[in-house]
Formats: sequence, structure tokens, C-alpha cells
Amino acid sequence: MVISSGEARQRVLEFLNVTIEAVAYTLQISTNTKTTAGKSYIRGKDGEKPQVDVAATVGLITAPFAGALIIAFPMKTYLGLMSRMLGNEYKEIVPEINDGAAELLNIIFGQVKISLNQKGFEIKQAIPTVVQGKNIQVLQSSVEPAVIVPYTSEAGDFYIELTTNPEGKS
Amino acid sequence: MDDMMTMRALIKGQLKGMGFKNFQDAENGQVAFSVLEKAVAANLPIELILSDWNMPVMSGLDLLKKVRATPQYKDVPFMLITAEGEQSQVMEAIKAGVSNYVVKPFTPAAIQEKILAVWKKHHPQG
Repeated sequence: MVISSGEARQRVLEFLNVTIEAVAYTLQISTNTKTTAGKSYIRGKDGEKPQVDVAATVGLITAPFAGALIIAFPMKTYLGLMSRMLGNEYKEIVPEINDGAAELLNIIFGQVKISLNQKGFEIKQAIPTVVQGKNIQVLQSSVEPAVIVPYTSEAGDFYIELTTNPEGKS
Repeated sequence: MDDMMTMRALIKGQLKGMGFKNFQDAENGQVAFSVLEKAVAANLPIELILSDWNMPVMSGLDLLKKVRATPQYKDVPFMLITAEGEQSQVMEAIKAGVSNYVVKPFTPAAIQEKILAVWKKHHPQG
């Protein structure tokens, strides 16, 4: 498949829009939490990074582009979402919620794949991984600019980040 | 089984809420198959398998195929609970003999309904 860079950018935008919908749907169903996406913005490698404590990332290999999708939470938001998801009140990270961010991202990624692989994205299966730590800077410091979408929710704020490299397609 | 501990905890919570008492979990298909073998050896056969698809080492689909190809386990009801929901994948699972298929995300009511349907089909006496 030959894709022009303009078309690849359009595909990135399409991917982002479907992801934004998938985040809202996944959090509503999995955690019974209403979320609202804020205005997305592009951050260069030296741009401001949101302060987060728990995040998950999955590598993207698609027909039009390669990249990474990240979901990142301040601790308070993460514990609130896990409490809603599992029906227990969590005040700290315990083993049973250690990989909850990766599970949520896995579900979001699955929804995106279902929607976009019907449109020829050929998104490959991948397993997300978790990153944790106080004020971690998980958001990618790649040479490519990243698109950040801030969210507000009943459990607190969180973010997704999409980094892409249209020239690095599979 | 699921490679994510959070999902295993979530499913176990649902099963407990439905009244199930004895269950074992595993982080991938290979470990799960070993659990199956040990359970049969201990005369405590597994009566229902709930598995994720996308796991390292051995996927849920590969486990399903292995279970269906093993005479002593081939009739055990096997549900896939997965984020993999493309039509081709669902068809592949049906061909491999899946008993029911749940695409994540799911509500507690939805997962309980599907588990109960599979359980009742294979255990009509309750």
C-alpha cells in the first residue's frame, strides 16, 4: 500500500478521533465513569508534560503509520477509577490494580482496532505495558511532536498521548 | 485466565457475586493448561474456563485449540473474554469451538448473563 504523507496525517487524525471515542466508551462501561475530552494540543519534545503517576503504553504498528498510544493518570484519578472498576475502595496501589492502566488501554486499543481495521488500518495486535512512579514523565520525549488529549472525569483528570511517525510505517 | 491481574480480580469478583466458590487463575494459556492437568489429577476437574485471548507465552485461542484437542478436557465450556473483537477473530474462535465470546469492555450485568448462559447450558441441573 502506498500512502502519501498528507493521507497519513489524515489517517492519524482519524485514529485520534476514534481513540477519543473509545476512551469515553471504555471508561463509561468498565468504570461507570463519565469522561469529557478537552481540547487536544500538540507538544514538541521540550513542551510541558502533564504530571502523572501511573501510565500504560502500547506500540502502534499500522498500515499508515507507526507510533505509540499512552494513557496516563495522576494517582488520585487512577485509584478512583480502579475503585469504581473493581467495586473496592483503594487508597494505594495494591497488586490487584497494579496493571489496571494497561488493561484499560488494552480495551481502548481493542475498540480502536475493531473500528479502524474495517477501514484498512491493519493495526497489529500488541500488549500494553505499565509505567509507575511519582510524577513520572512517561509522556514520550520523541523527536516527533505528540498529540495530547486532556480529560476530565468524575474520578479526576487524566490524559492520552498519541505519538506517530508517518514515515515509520510497517 | 488473563495476563492482567486487574482483569483476573474483576472476573473473580463477578464469579464470587454469582455464587461460584472454587476457582483458580492463571496468567497465560500455558499456566492454565497446567492448572487443568493438576485439577484432573486431583479429581477436581475444571468445569468452566474463562480466558483472555491476547496473552504472552500462550494465547487464549491457542489454549482453546489445545483444550478442544485433548480428549479429557474437550467438552469443558470455554469462554473468551477479550478486547479482540474483529469479526474474523470471532469466527476463528467459533471454528475453534469457543462456547461464548465476550468483547471488553463489559458491564457486570452483561458478563454475568453470558457466564450464566454457558454454565446453564453445560450444567442444566444447576
